This record gives sequence, structure tokens and C-alpha cells, in this order.
Amino acid sequence: MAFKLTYLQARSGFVTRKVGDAYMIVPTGPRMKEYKGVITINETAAFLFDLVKEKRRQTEELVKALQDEYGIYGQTAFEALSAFVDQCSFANLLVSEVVDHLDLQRNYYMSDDLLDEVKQALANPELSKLAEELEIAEAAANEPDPNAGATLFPEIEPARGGDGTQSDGNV
Amino acid sequence: MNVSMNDTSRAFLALLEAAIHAHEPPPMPDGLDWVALYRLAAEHRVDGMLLAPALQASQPPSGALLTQWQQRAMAVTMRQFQIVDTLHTTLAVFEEANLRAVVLKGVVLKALYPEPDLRVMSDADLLVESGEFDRAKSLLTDQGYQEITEDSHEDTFVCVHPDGLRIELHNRLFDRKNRGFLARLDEGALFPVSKAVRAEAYGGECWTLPVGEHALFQLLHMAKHMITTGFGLRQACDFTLFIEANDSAIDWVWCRKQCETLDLLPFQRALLTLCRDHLGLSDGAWQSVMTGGSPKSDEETANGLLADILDAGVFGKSTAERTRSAAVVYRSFDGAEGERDSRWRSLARAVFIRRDELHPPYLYAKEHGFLLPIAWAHRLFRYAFIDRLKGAESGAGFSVARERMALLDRLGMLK
Repeated sequence: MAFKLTYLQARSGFVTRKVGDAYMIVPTGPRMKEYKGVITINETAAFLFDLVKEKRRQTEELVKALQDEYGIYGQTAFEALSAFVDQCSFANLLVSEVVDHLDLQRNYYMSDDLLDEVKQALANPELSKLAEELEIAEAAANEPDPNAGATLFPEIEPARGGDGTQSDGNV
Repeated sequence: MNVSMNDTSRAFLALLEAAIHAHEPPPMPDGLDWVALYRLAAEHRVDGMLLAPALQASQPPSGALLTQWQQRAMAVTMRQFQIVDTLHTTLAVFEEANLRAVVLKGVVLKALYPEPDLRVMSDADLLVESGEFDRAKSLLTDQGYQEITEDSHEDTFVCVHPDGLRIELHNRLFDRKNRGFLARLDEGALFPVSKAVRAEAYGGECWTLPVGEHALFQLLHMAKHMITTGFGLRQACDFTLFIEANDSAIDWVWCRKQCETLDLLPFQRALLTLCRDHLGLSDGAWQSVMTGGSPKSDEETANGLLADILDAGVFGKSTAERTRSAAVVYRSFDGAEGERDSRWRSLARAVFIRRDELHPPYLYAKEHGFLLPIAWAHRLFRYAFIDRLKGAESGAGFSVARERMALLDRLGMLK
């Protein structure tokens, strides 16, 4: 059975700030040359941006975070996330990556057993133990491997091509 | 200058105190004039800081004012990010060149604020050894800084980066021609570059003065502005937060002794009283400075100082007459010690200044000495008419000067 995982990550060089009642994304360092204006966002978007700035996250994880933080569920949460992704992608603040299970196995050296656990995890939001194992797998995979053709958890580029992996700036 | 503590001023101070200590402000008075408060905050360039506590009021600002306030605060944030980033890039170049540039105030003080991005820093002051001054200038110009020749002089190189950061590079901290207590200051002994320490600052690390010297420098810097146009509340906020962060590390006995030597003890006591009473300076070792004095007298002088500060804007340039008054006050220090200038003598000193002390727009006489009488006439014309044209009462500058002179007298700063 094929399935896909969608990951989101903020491009580096941005921070969020609350000013009065408003939220804004501020470019830092070299990004200041690219962005001269003020990027205003709402509170939910600032919350989501901080999450994806911290690390690459699955959309499901973000939806759950919205549920936990703001008590919004189902379609409403997905719509909030979708609006966030659209806005951030428009301003080129975000990188999204869709990975199917074959990529997971190939790129992250994931065993069949572990892949099964990932599938179960997708059905069950209690991910803590599995996340730990994924981190272990990631750390192992990041060991220098002269034969490795694929970069493991690579620095995400705005646009990528290739079999099974696509990125168009949108979810 | 007669600023009474009206509702606006009281609310302004209460919000400022809440902002710098990140706590909830007290209830604001009914019918508070938010526009007046915003203007006052903008004059002192603390409007961004005050936005969050203002929004906690039961009747917060709204409509066009709120929009403007909000937009200004966001613009300040963006701008400050850029300035801080450019500064640290510049400092990294100095480090790479093994040239110690000591950062004064600015990013070191910014880091002490609950919302550092909203503490406005318009420029950066860097101190280098005299022997390194030319090399430091070259480092700056190599990075694209352009000299502002009209502001530069023998000991200070003023320049601006294409990104907008203005740097004042100093090989000494106070002007050689300074009068009053500054004429007695041995800054080479008090603030040598060799004593600088590496410290955390906003956005990175930098060389800066040790905390005791930095506290004294801030105090002297405010006193220097006091004998010209006055200083702003933001500097008093900086001082308050700096003391709270470093109180136990500051040698207050040494600090008091330096102030005594410079006849600045009344000013030091008044400033600390003001910080305690109006900006919430918490109790600490600094209170040892206050022993032996009269609390009532300190409070009265602190209130006079506060009235002057509220009137001053950031560096005391809030009104044309105030700026005009600066020359009168400053020139009065030319009088012999103990001699109080008469009204006309003070004015004469302010108008008939020496050729080497001319500044824009009178520089033509600096270059061509025979034009000095024309510059005096020009200056007199400006005193007599320009204020009136700008809507100020004729002689208002002189009136402000007289009031400020009385305050300086109370602070013991006319010696």
C-alpha cells in the first residue's frame, strides 16, 4: 500500500516577532537583502512558523499541534494549515517535500518493520516512541557513507525533482 | 520647559516602567489622551516599547492612532534587525583584523530589554586606541561606510553604511573642548580600551567596558548632555536596566568617588532617585551612593530633573527654543569659576563664539576668518527671528536656558 508523507520546513534566516497585537516574520542576515518589506501574519501562522522553523515537520504533526494549541479540529485545522502553507509559499518562506514510502526506505535506510511502524503511527498520533527511533535511524544514516548516493535528510531546496520526490512550494 | 506631571506624563511613565520590566501596567486614567501620550513616547523614541502595555489598558488606543503606532513599531523592529546585523558584521571584520573596537551602550544595553528589538538604536559608538584610529577608519571605509564629513572631527569619525547603520568611531569619548565637569575628566585613566571585556550583547558578542566603568560612562554621558540640551528618558531607562542587571558587580564606592571628584554627586543621586521613583529601579547595592544626603532634597532635584527630561526628547532636541538654549547654557561655562553670567553676558557668549567653535551653518567663517563678524550677525539674526518664524516666542530659547541653568545649579553642575 503506497502512502505519502508531507514535510514542511521554514527556510533559514527568518524569525517571528510579536509586536503589539500583530505578528510578523523578520528576515535576518543575508535574507535582509531579499526581503525589504514587513511580512505580517496572524497568530496561528506565527505558531506554525515557529514549529517548522525549529525542525522539519509532517503536516499531520502540525494539524495535531493546531488541535492541541487552539482546539481546532478536522477540516478547519487542515484549512488553517493550507492557508498558512499558501501564504508562506507565496512569500517563499517555506519548503515542502513529499516523500513516499519508497523514498523513506531508500533515503532513510528504513527497515520494513520500521516502515510498518511509521504506517501505524500515521494512524495513531502518539508518536513519541517512534519519533525517537526515527531520530536514531536518522543519526545512523547520517554517518559518512562513501557509497551513499542520496543525501540523508538533506538540506531542503525550494525545488527538487526526481522519482517519487517532488516539491512545488505547496502542499 | 515648565512640564507639570499631568495625566499624560504620569501614564507615560507608568507604561514605560511596565514596558521595561515586562509587567502589567497600572490602570490608566479615564479619558486618557492617547494621541498626546503617543507623541510624547515618539519624542523619546520609546513608542514601540509602549505599544504592548498600552494595549493592556481597559480603554486602549484604537483606530488610526493604533494603526500608526502598530506600523511604526513593526518598522522599528525591521530596522533594528538590520542595524544590529550590520553592526555585528562590522565588528567581525574588526575582530578578524585584530583591532579591538569597544562598543558603548547600543547593543550592550539593548540586550537588557524585555523586547530588545523595540529599544531603538540609531547609531553605534565604537571606541578604539588612538594609535589604531586610522586603521579603524580604513576598515570601515573598506566595508562601504561613507564618511559624514560635517559630523566628523579630530577625535571622531562619523560614517554611514549603505544599509543605514551610522557609526561614530571615537579615539576618545568626550570632546577635548568640553566644559564644566568634563574639563576635569581624565577619561584616558577611567576608560582605557585595554580594560575592555568581552561580553554578551544583543545579536552576538562584543568588546565593551567593564560594568562599573560602563555605568559611570553612561552617567557621564547623560551629564554631558545635561549641560547642553538635556537627555531623554530612554537613557534613564538604559541606566535603570543596566544597574538592575549588574548592581552587585558594580563597585559603587569607586563610582561614587569618581562622581564626587567631578562634582557630580548631586546629579548621580538625583538620577538614581528618579530611576527608583519613576522607572522602578529595584533596591540594591547602588543605594550606598545615597547615604549621607537628604532624601527630600534628592527627591526635589530628581523631580526637577524629570521635568527637564520629559521636555527633552531623546537628546534634548525636542523644540527649537530648547536647541537654541543649549548654546546659551553651554557657553555659560566660559565664565570664571564661581561667577554666574548675567543674562546678556550669557547671550553674548552664545552668539559671539570663537572661530574654532563654529558649526553649521556658520562654517564659512571657520574657513575664512574675515567672515567671523558676518557669522556673528547671522547667528544673532537667527536668535532674534528664526524662532519667531517657527512659531516660538522670541527669546523663548533664552528662557529655557535660564530654567535649565537653575536646574544645573541645583545639581551642582555649574562648577
